[in-house]
Amino acid sequence: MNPQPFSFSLRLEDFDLSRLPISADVLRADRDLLVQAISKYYTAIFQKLGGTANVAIAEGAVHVSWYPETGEPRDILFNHARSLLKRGNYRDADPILHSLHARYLNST
Amino acid sequence: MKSAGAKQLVATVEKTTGYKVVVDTVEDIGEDAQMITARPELPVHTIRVSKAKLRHADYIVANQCAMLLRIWAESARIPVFSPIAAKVSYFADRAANSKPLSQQPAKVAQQTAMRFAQGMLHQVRSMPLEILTVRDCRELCPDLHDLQAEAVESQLRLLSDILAPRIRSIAPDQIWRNNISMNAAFALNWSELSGSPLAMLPYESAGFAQIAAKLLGEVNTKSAKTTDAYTQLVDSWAEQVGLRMLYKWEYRNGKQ
Repeated sequence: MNPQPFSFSLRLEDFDLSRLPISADVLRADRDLLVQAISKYYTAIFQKLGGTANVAIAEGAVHVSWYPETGEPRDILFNHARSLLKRGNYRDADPILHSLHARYLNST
Repeated sequence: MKSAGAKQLVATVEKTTGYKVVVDTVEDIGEDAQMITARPELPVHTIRVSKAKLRHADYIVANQCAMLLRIWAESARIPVFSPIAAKVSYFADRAANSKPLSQQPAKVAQQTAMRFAQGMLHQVRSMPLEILTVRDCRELCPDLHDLQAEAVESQLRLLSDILAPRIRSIAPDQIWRNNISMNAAFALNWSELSGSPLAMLPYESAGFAQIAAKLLGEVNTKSAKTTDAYTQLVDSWAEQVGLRMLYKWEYRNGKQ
C-alpha cells in the first residue's frame, strides 16, 4: 500500500522571509523571485527527508505534497523535528513544525 | 565559548603565531566582528564580536581565527593591505561626479563616494579570504555546521540588500555592479558548500552568475595557505572589479 501524502498549504504573505538567505526587500520587490525562492525552500526541506516532494504556487499560496518512501508522514516529521530540536537546530526544526501546524491546525 | 572546534582554532592560532587570542564584545558595528591582529606594541590578537551577533559568537570566533591563520601563514612575511590615499580620493571623486551621486549636493556626493570606495576596498580585501575561511570552518569545525549555516545565511540576507531598488537608485552603476559581483561569488560558494541553490537565486536572476563563477574560480586556484596565494587572490579580484591601482601590499615581520 502506498503511504498517504503529507499535504499542506500556506499563504505566501504568511511565509517568514527571514528563513531565506535573501533580503526581504529584494523578495518583496520581485514576485517571481519570491515564488521561486519559497518553492525551492520547501522542495529542499522535503527532499532531504526522502520520497517525493511536489511544490506548487497558485492563488497566492504555496501547496506542498510530500510522499515519504515508507511510514506515516506525521510520525516521520515529528521525529525529525524532535531530533533537530535536541541538537539545538531550531532553524531547521521550525519550518517542519510550522508545516505540521498548517496541516493539522483545522483537523482533529 | 562552548564549541570544541572554535576552542581548537583559538589554540592553533596561539600556537602558530605565538600570541594569545583575546575575545571581547563590541557594540553593534554593522559587521560580525572586529579583529585586531597582534603587533609588537599590542602583543595579542583581539577578536571583538558584535553584541548584535552574540548568538553566532562561537562561529564568528572560529571564522576570525581561520582568517588569522591564513594571514599569518608566513609569520615573517605578513601581508598588509595599504590603500593609496591619493588614488582612493581620485576614485571617489570620479564616483561623486557620476550619476546618481552627481545629482546630490557636492559635499554629500563626496562623502558618499568615499564611503563607497572604502567599502569596496574592504570588500575586495576580505571577501575572497572569507570564502576560504567559510570552507576552513566547514572542514575543521563540524560541531559548528548548524551555527555556520545560520550565520552565513544571515550575512547573505544583508549582502543581497544591494539588489533592492532603494539601493540601486543611490549607487553609481559600476560600483553597484562590482559590489554585487563579489557578493555573488560569496553566495555561489555557499550554494556549493551547502548544496542549496537559494543563495544564488537573486544573483542568477540579476545576471551575475557568470562573474560569480569567474571570481570563485580565482579562489579555487589560489587557495593555498601562503602569503603569495592570499595577495594574488586579492589582486585577481581587484583586477576584475577595477580596484587594483588603489592599494599596495606591504609586509611586516610578526615574529616575536
